[in-house]
Amino acid sequence: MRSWLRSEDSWAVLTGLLVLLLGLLSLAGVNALGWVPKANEWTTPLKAVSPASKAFALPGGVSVLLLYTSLLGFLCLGAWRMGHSVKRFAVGFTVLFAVGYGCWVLGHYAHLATTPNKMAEKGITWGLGLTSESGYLLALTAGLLVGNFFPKAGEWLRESARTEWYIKTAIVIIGGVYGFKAAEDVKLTQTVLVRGLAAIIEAYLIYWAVVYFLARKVFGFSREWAVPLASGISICGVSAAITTGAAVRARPVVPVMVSSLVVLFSVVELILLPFAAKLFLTDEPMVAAAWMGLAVKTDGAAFSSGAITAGLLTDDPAQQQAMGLTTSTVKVFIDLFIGVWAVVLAVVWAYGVDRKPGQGVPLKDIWGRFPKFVFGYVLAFAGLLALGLWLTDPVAKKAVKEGMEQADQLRRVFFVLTFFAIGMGANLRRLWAEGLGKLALVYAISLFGFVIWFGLLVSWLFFHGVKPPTVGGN
Amino acid sequence: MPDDKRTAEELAKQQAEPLLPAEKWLIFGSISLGLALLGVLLWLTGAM
Repeated sequence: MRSWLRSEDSWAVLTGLLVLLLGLLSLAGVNALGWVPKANEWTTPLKAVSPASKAFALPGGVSVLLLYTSLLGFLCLGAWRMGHSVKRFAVGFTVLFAVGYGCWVLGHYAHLATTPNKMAEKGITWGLGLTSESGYLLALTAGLLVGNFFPKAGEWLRESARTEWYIKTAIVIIGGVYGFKAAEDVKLTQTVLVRGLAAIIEAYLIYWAVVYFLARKVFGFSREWAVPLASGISICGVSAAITTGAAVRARPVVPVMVSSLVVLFSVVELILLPFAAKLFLTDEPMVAAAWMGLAVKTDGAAFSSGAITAGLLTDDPAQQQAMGLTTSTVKVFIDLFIGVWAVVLAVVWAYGVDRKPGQGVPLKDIWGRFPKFVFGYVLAFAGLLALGLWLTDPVAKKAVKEGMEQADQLRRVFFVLTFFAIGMGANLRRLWAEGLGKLALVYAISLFGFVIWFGLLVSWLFFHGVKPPTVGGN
Repeated sequence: MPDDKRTAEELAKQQAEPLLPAEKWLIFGSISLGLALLGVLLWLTGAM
């Protein structure tokens, strides 16, 4: 139990499930998350933030302060259990929250966020129409500026910039929100789940094999480097590089080095792909959503680009949720098989490559490095889906729906913290670091020359023509 | 965090390792199985 509480995965599952449970108290008539702040598209700053539930007559600023203190208290507890410096974490988190939430609110400024169809309603005549997701991009930009131009400040904030913790928490919350939503449209959910299987086949059997071949045969990388590199590019970035690295007994330095490249390139994808989808896939939102899950590496960047793409392609919340369900299903399906693939590689290496007598499959090591938060997502998704199917009383359904919408506000806060942390962790200088060019080159060629386009083709084959529901009907 | 310079030196010094039969099986077996399974899944989803 003690060691379980020392990992970010465990705390992410714990934090995410706690948020969902608080949201579910609405079933018992307790509005436990109604005070959570909700950013609104604004023209006057006083209207920028309000509590998620109208039952709370709090000024927006008080609501934000309440959120900050609650998160600080709970996350500091987690930081303490994980052995981080609580003082540094608390100070860093304060800055992270202030900048991150500030960017989130700024991103809701009507001239930045409001789409053309809603400008008259907001009383404005011009705007960039970037949707409220522009808050994420502002947070990412702020993070990139701090990490690359003020490296000392970035180093100082590193203790609190826990990208994995924040995004995994958000993913567990998303699991519950999408699970309950999925119960409203079982047919669409079935379609997404079945078609999502293509992602597993594509990532493990095609991407991995092609990139491994390229790294070994064309670029001459050793097996120790080629395995984490192929896993990082084709499967799930950091988690896959580390887990499969353990499976073939690579030295820890190898997957760590590959992981830093994965993070860098995922930021580039996060910036480019949603806008490419906006340009070319406006009529195929589900293809765009699946593409983000298939092509963008690291969980944080994939979910984040999914959210931005949904915001860019539609302002209909029902469509955005269906797109979110697609991106998350594709990504989580891929994540789920990391352990299986690691075992396959370990067996091939033990019996076909290394052939050292007595050397078995390092199952304990593989399990230790497996990203266990995916179980949190699956548990939340299945639990809320079952609840949604079981509930028949419309009043109870409405109560849970409101609770999940409030939980989703917290998910957005964890997302914005993730964006800021991702930006801060992306040291762009590394791309030009002497001698690492070959590693970056094979990554760039594989990603931009093959993974992105094959991902688009498969997304198109499996998701074109699948129409997401709209508010008020299908 | 590992040192970039040392990693770069190590990458430059890497000896070529020929593809072993097990690796060839893994690569070409995976691609063949993957394309076949994608075809089957495409056929199944088309029939849904």
